Amino acid sequence: MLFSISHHTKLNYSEPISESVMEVRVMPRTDDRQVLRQFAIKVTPDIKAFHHTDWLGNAVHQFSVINSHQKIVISTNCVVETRPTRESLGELTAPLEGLIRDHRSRDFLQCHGQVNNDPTLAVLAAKIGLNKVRSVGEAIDIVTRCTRELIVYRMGATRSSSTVSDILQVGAGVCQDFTHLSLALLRRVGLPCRYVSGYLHKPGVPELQTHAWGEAFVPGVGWLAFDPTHAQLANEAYVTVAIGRSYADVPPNRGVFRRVAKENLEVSVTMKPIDTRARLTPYSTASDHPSVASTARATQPWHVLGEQASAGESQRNALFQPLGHSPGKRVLTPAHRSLESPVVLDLRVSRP
Amino acid sequence: MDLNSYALDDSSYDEMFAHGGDIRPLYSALAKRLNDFGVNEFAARQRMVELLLRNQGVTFTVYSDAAGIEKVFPFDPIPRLVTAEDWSFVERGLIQRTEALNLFLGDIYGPQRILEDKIVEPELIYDAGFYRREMVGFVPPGGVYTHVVGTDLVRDANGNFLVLEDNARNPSGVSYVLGCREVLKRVFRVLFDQYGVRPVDQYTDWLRETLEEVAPGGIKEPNVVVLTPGIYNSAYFEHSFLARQMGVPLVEGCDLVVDNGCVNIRTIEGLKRVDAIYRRIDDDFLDPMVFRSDSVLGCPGLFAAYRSGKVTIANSPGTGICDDKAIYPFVPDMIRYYLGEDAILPNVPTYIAARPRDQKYIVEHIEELVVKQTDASVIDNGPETFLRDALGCASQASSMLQRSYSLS
Repeated sequence: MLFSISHHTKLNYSEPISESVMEVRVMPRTDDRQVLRQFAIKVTPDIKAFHHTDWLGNAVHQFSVINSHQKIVISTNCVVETRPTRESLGELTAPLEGLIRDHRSRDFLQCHGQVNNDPTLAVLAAKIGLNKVRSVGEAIDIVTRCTRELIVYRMGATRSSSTVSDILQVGAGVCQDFTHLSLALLRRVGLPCRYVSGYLHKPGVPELQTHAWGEAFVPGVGWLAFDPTHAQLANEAYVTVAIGRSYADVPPNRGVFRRVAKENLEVSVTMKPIDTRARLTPYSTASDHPSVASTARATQPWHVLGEQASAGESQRNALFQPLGHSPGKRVLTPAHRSLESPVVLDLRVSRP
Repeated sequence: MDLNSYALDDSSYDEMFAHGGDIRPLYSALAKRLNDFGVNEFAARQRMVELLLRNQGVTFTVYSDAAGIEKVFPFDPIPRLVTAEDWSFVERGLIQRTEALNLFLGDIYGPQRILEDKIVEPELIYDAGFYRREMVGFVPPGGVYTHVVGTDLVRDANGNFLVLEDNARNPSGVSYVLGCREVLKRVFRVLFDQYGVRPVDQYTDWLRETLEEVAPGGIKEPNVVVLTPGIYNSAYFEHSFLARQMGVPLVEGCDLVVDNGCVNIRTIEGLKRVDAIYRRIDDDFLDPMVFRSDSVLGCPGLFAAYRSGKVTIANSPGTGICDDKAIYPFVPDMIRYYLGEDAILPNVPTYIAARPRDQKYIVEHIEELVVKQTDASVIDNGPETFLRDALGCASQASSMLQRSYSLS
């Protein structure tokens, strides 16, 4: 499916602040399941955003607002094409016992940080029958369907820093918490799995929030996405933005500023399917975008990324997207500086 | 100067005296000069050395001493002589070793072939506190991670040089070499007469050139700064000394701000772009947005600017994994793996308590061995219980043992 997505983050401060330094993770990835076709980011006050790729292969945009200000707005627009996904776990009969785990999966096997190994997990795993599963497919299936038998969906019960122990104590949480709990359960049975933040399209729902789900690594298949909040495998309606060991690796935005003020954060996401036969016009002017026409001034340049080449090198079974590495024994060669993601171009388009 | 009452120890290498008590030919001129000084004259000059060092502020900090934390550097004016031949051997060994360490860093923050080929156990990397995952997938300019390395050398009983340990994070000490050499030249001028002593004062020129060379490409006159945690740091003297000698600004984290993607220093004329930072702050405190969020010593956004290629940091974050005590035993293997050569400078023979094949040797020779703890977290209690039995006392898991040598 082809989606046009807008994501607006508004930060308002009670007092004027200065020297805001921020980084955001808002650019969808290109991998086995999806291709980023277009992307544009705009910051208000008018500030250029620079980007690099972090150690997990996520695109990070960073910017600073030095002078005094009381409001920051980060708007992104993108077009993502998602591919059809696996519909059932039936064929995933690889046994959990004796699963060969590459050293690179260590980080996704260990309970670390927020995804902590709470002592009651053993009991909970038995409650949903996780301790009896033998195959990879069964493990993912049970955790996907049954995590919501362990906790209820309720906003305000937890915070973004809540650990698995916190979640189990209140017995409730939001998609981030469902995902953390599912990761803790799967890691206990030795399946490497990771946290995904992104967007989920819900037909008929005009405004969304960001969503979180999990991915488990299946040998011979790759990263398989599952959604414990909705008790289903991820399908074409899911768009991945960033992956990590837990939420702490992929905060949508993070920053510091000088002076003292209270911060108020508002996030809104709109996601519209586009007919796949439609020709995509490249983003060139702010006014082409109905969702931002009202907020952007026509004279401000957009930081636009051109149309993506089709991802020939998809990350089939790779756990990382290593960048800028020259193969061969001697690595002390002139700097290989491809710090931009391999298939995305950064073009600055200014208005006449 | 009465050298007859000097106590010789045959089990270790003495710089000046060969086994049997004869003065080594290299030192005969020096010994004669020392004999020409009386005890009183020598003592007077030694006091003058201390005075000069104190006046120049050549100090270091001992945090735990109640009598006062700042101490004058304890400098022994009797020089140790290293021949050009010996030095060129050591130099080749250090160049080889440093190259291997950099290739190792590029590998473990990249393709990790040394783990795939099972030369090094993955736990030693992934569980190490100094392994900075944030560096994965990034190649610093020239593939150089360690621009400044301090390698500790010892001599065995036969006078062979061995490497005791590497210091690749934030090594300090070169300012004492430079400062003390100046003082020695003034107070003990006569000692320099008999020997062609190589100068050391080009060090800061070389350091500055290195920093300028690794700055992001295409900049004509790169701006270099020295980043210090401030006056309360034990090596502050060195930070300010090096900055002064190089003729570059000495800054603290609060003097820097990231704007327009680059790191800038605040000046009275406005923001000035910084291209290379010789940072004397630990990784943990470099950037509150990436590492420790409670750090006030660093600069927010610095690491993003670094990964974007907008500024160069020397030494790179994440070098601590290569001077980790648990990795030290593998350095000769690294040299073979990456360079296809045998190590010119060998390690001190080392035995790892976590390795069953080393445990027999450890038990039999426990008296002669120095026990060092490694940084690895507790994976299993095997080594701990083993050592407790061997030593008859409690010790931490995964300790590493080395044959002890007295430093001559």
